[in-house]
Amino acid sequence: MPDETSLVRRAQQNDRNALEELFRINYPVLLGALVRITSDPRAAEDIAQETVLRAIVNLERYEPRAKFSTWLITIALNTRKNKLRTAWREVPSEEVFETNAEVESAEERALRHLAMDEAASLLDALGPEKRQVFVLKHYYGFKYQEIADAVGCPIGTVRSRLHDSVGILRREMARRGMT
Amino acid sequence: MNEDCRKVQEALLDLAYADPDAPNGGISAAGVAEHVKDCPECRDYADTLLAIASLLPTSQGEVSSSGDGHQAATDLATEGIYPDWARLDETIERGVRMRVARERRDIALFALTATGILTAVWVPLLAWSPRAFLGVQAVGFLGIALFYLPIHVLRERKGDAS
Repeated sequence: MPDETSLVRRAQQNDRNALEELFRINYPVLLGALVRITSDPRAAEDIAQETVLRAIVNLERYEPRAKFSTWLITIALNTRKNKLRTAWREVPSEEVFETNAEVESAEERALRHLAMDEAASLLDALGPEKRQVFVLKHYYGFKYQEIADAVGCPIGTVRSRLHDSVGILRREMARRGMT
Repeated sequence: MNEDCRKVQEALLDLAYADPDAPNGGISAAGVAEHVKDCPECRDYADTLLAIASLLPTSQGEVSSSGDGHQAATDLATEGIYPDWARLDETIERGVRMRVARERRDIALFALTATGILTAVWVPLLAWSPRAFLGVQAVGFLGIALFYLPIHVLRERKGDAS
């Protein structure tokens, strides 16, 4: 299997096969992170697809200091932030949730419930900002600096959000009798 | 929570999630162990970190995402989530088309700018006075040389000039 750096280099030179292989390897990692962060597989897939598009167009901006998947997840978080901002601007606050609830069919709801196991529901106890930091650190081993860059806040805030997440999970596990 | 507990809990977090960016809180592993033994709150915190590790296991595919995308895909499948590969192929196709279009647009923009400068500045200047044209060219080359020479010298001193 070719190493990631050479794949990226070839993809940057418009090698179509390298590009496809690069995304086939990294797409499940990207999608997995987004599903955990959003707890909504459908929204995660949409953001992941938009991320792939943006990544391909801006591929020469990638520098192999971090893993390719780290770069992808960073783009994905920015994409998500922009989407949320647009949604809040375009639709009055209560309607964002009402509309989503109406559009979601029974089948989709069932699929969503299937995908959300006990662990995922534990993560629901964290707010969106803490959940983002926790998922990137716990599941994906991002460095503090990488999380700070991706989320757009200082390292100290990242550390305190992670610390708070542990506290919230501790209370949640105790409440559910999991400890 | 007192200051010692705060430091110990931060150290425990850094031990659980080893990170090169983590600041050294000035507390040794032995100091942490000693404190945890005597402090129920910090012991509880350490137990929580262990419980999180076992309740929310991280797989090999996610942690070493540089190589094992197949593992990550398998993990997603166990959660009932399947990447939409057909849609991904379409997106890649669309991305490649957009990328090529952007490259072409950049080249066209560069050519247009170069042509514009050539026709608006250099051609009239040459028509007006070939001597002035040569003079301006000489000043331009001198300017470029003065700008790049120090950079070249500095790079050579650093040993990274090709």
